[in-house]
Amino acid sequence: MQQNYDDNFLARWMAGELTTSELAEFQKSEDYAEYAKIIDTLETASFSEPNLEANYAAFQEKIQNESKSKTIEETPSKVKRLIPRWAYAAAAACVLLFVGYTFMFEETIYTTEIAEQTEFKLPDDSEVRLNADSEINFTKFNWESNRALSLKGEAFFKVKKGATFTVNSNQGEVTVLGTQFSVNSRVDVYMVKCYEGKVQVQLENNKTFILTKGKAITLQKGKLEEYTIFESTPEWLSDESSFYNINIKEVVAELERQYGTKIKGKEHLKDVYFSGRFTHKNIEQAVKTVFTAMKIPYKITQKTVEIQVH
Amino acid sequence: MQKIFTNVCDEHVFKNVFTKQFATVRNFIYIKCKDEAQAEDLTQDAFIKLWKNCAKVSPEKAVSFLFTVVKNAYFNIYEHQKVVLKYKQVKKSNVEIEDPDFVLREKEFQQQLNDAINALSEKQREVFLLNRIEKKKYKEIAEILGISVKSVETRMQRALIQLRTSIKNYKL
Repeated sequence: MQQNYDDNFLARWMAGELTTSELAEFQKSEDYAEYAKIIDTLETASFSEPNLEANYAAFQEKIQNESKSKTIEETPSKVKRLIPRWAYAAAAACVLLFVGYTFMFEETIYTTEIAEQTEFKLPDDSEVRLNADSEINFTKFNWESNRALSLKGEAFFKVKKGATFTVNSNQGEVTVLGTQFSVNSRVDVYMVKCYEGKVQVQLENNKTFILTKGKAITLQKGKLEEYTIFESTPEWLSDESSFYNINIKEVVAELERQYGTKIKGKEHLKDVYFSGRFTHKNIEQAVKTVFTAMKIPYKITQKTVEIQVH
Repeated sequence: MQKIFTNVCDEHVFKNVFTKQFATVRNFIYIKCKDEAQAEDLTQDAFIKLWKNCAKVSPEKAVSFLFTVVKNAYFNIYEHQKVVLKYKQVKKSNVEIEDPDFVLREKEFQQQLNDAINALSEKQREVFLLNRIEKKKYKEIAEILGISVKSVETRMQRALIQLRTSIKNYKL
């Protein structure tokens, strides 16, 4: 039943370490299909995501319980106290301070993986939608009067009226009072779109812009462009990504983020700019939309997309 | 901006390690004990131990510290429970409409594979799932488990052959 493979042949195959000729030979054998099916089936398997916040809370509770029971054990029952009462009071004050400190400055972090989106509410009920491969963190303490958060990646905000709301990212800072807008802060591009109300954008070089409803700016490669948008919410909320004069490299990066697929041959891409949109539901269609429009030859197989020289 | 921390006593550094590594450590022990609640409990305890020993552990060493603690804890309380390991299948299919018969057969195959994985020996299952689901390289697995890369390869190979045999027997 078993071919006589050497003792790590299949292990090397799973690690992708077979030589081309070994692989070709193996693919011809009748066992191949069955092994490949097992491996393919597991390709997309994953364990459930643990609830990090709940686990961190459980962890903190355990630590607190442990230190509580310890202090009870260690309290001397003798009349003569080796350690005066005030020392305990001081220690308790220290613990309180420490707990208070961690509570006040504890950061809340939301992240999304590739090909994932999430939505959540901030303490003041403002809504946030987080696009793929992005991260937001903020401090819950005193949120109402200090509404500031930092963002890596892309997010859409529906801000409740109240104190100034600030989104910090590497390339700039966006402040608003109450409105709807999205910020996309990736490595090479920075995009802010205003869907309702008014937002103020302050870039790294301290330049300030006011965006009103339907206005957007894009900063890429040091060049700034202002334009008009017609949608009332970002396309990625309805499973599409849309671009206005965006470098093809960034578009390809977004394809990778939405589908969790590596696109090979990126080095062949030239600095051309794409306007248009692609769906998040069908990779073949999405790739076709982008690459056909830009006249970029590509090859698509079951698992990979490869860009070819052009 | 990047500060160099020599240990994980800083609240921020610790929380960061927690956020990044909790799932990795939990899945590692979950593969062994097959019980999610127990796995999370053990992982929390491991982080408590890390917190208490924070001065002795650098951020880079934190993961291997956690692995060691969780492994020992597991050995200490190990009871032979017959529980079943579950992993979820994220179907990222490009084809939107599929033949129902095909879907059914696919489901059945997944179930058989799941059963077959559960029937593997702990040593084989551990190595196989760390590689296939947790996407760890053979070398990384060898380091985590303290065995040679050669043994990892042998276990991988045997696990795969075993899976195929189980699935074949299932069909008969």
